[in-house]
Amino acid sequence: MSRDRLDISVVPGDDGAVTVAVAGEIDLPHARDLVVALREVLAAGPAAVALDLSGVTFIDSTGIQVLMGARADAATTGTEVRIAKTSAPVQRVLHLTGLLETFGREIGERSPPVL
Amino acid sequence: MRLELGVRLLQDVDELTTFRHLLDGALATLGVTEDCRADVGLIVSEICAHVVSYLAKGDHAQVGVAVADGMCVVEVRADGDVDPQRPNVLAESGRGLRIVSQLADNVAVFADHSHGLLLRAGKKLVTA
Repeated sequence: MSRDRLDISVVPGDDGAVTVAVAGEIDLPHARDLVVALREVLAAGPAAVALDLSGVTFIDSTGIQVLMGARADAATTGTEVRIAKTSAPVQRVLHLTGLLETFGREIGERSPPVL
Repeated sequence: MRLELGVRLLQDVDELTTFRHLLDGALATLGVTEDCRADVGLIVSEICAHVVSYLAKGDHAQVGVAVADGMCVVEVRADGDVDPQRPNVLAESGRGLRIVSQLADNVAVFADHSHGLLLRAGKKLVTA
């Protein structure tokens, strides 16, 4: 049986910032794909990274850990990684993990509930 | 009616998404609400992810999900003996277990490692 794909697209902005749009399910089998993609993005030295998670239909703490890890890695070079758009499942897990306040101030837009 | 599904770890780790989808589809057929199915999916995903982080190379565990009498029970059993010196699967703090404890109606930890039973989490099913 093959696993579903996690769709990740990287869109460079005019100001040196990069938007990373993620669609699909961020769970244990897919988390590695996101780790690799975010490391590649950060290695290019963007001014900032905006995460568009409006297409994420499932996320668990493994996925949250990936996001936290990317923020920590980026912080070592002064690069900001923020959630620009989110979805109902992402919002819910951030709440359950107590991280909604951590990300809450920076979340600019939430798409309509997916689940 | 009783429904049982199982997944082997670490062998089936790439199939965890499919496993969760199968369970979600079965619960939908039984009329379980979307919110409740989302809770069950998170519980299963968190428990599996945590068990994977706990297993050492060469270790094996079975994660079984049973649906009966309005309950969904997720149970983890190690295949064979469990090293009694190894920390209990729920002893470590973490975001995943925090989610499980918030969403499940009951979580039980079994201290008798010689039987290989590590944990069981139950969730009452809500039907439309």
